[in-house]
Amino acid sequence: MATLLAIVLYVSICFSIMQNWLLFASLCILMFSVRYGAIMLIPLAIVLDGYYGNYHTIPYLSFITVWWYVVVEYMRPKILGPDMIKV
Amino acid sequence: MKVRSRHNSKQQRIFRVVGISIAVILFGMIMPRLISTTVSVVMTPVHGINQWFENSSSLVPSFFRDRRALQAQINDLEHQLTLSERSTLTQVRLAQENDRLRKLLGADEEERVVAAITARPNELPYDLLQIDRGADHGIEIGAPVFIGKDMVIGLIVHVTPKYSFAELITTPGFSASAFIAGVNVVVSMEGMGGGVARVRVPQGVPLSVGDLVYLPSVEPGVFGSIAHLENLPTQPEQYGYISPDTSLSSIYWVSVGKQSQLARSPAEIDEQVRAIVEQSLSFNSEEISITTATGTATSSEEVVVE
Repeated sequence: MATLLAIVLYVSICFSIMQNWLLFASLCILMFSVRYGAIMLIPLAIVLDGYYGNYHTIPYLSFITVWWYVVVEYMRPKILGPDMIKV
Repeated sequence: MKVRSRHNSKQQRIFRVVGISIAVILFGMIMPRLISTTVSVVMTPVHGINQWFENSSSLVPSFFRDRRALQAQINDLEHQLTLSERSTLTQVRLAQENDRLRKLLGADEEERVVAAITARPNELPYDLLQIDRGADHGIEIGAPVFIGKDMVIGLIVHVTPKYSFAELITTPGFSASAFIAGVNVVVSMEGMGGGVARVRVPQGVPLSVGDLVYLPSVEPGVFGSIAHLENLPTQPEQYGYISPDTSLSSIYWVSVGKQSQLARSPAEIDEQVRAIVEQSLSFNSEEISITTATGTATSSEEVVVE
């Protein structure tokens, strides 16, 4: 069930960014990050930057996601507690 | 000790992930074409689904698209409403300023009679209105008929003591001089029937849709704005079609001016003036006999009588 939810959230993040539903995307990202960490968002951001051709200028989505990963990794233990996190 | 080692390993993991990610991103920035090609292969199924979502006429995508379009339309209309409210304020201010300036110049408001429309173009021929005020209320043939304060729509053509008929400016055969604001030209306007009037303007005059059309003989005589242009380069004239902004079926009250606006030909006016002058200067024989007795004054009067 957790895996299915993760897949649904992941796909929702991808399509909501592509459809420019930024509020919904932010909500999904927050839920995904809290439950499963943000490491899986980095490849998604890299792929989306490539899809939109941002590597010809600045891949801002990838940089923001890396920053978000660091923030989440430091914040998650404080929100959920160290025992709740599966590495 | 154990906690510290877990902490260190976690930090090392974070540094490793960040390092690898930055390396991949920098590699992508160095070779953008390579990463774009790779991503286009990876994203093929996602791209297909996304295109289906954006273009398909199926229920779910069209529901989301319609919702988005409606939301955008609502935002656009709210924006227009805000602008409209501001322009209404501007209009009120300009109207007040105009009234004040007119009073300073001594222009008096024309007295008007309010009348209800009792028959309109379903019961009557098109371009004809019947109103419930007539000669008993001071209405005469040729009086202008207004919607609101300044939009003239026609003239009274038949008056009985209790009711009258107004013919609209758009009646076929109606002709009047019109002033087109914007390009500032005076042209002839003719009724075309069916609620449409037409102005003829020479080629080269930059006529455009939305230009206001006034009837200078009626004060204040805004008739409408140009709604459609017909401009063929092979023709010597261009045509502007005008229809009133308000439909006849939605009008219930009109106001009627008390001053006739019928145009007379110069010859007819000359004849009338001559008749008035002759009438005012005509004497009977007793008056002449009196005046002939008084020296020099008679000579001038005799000249006038001749």
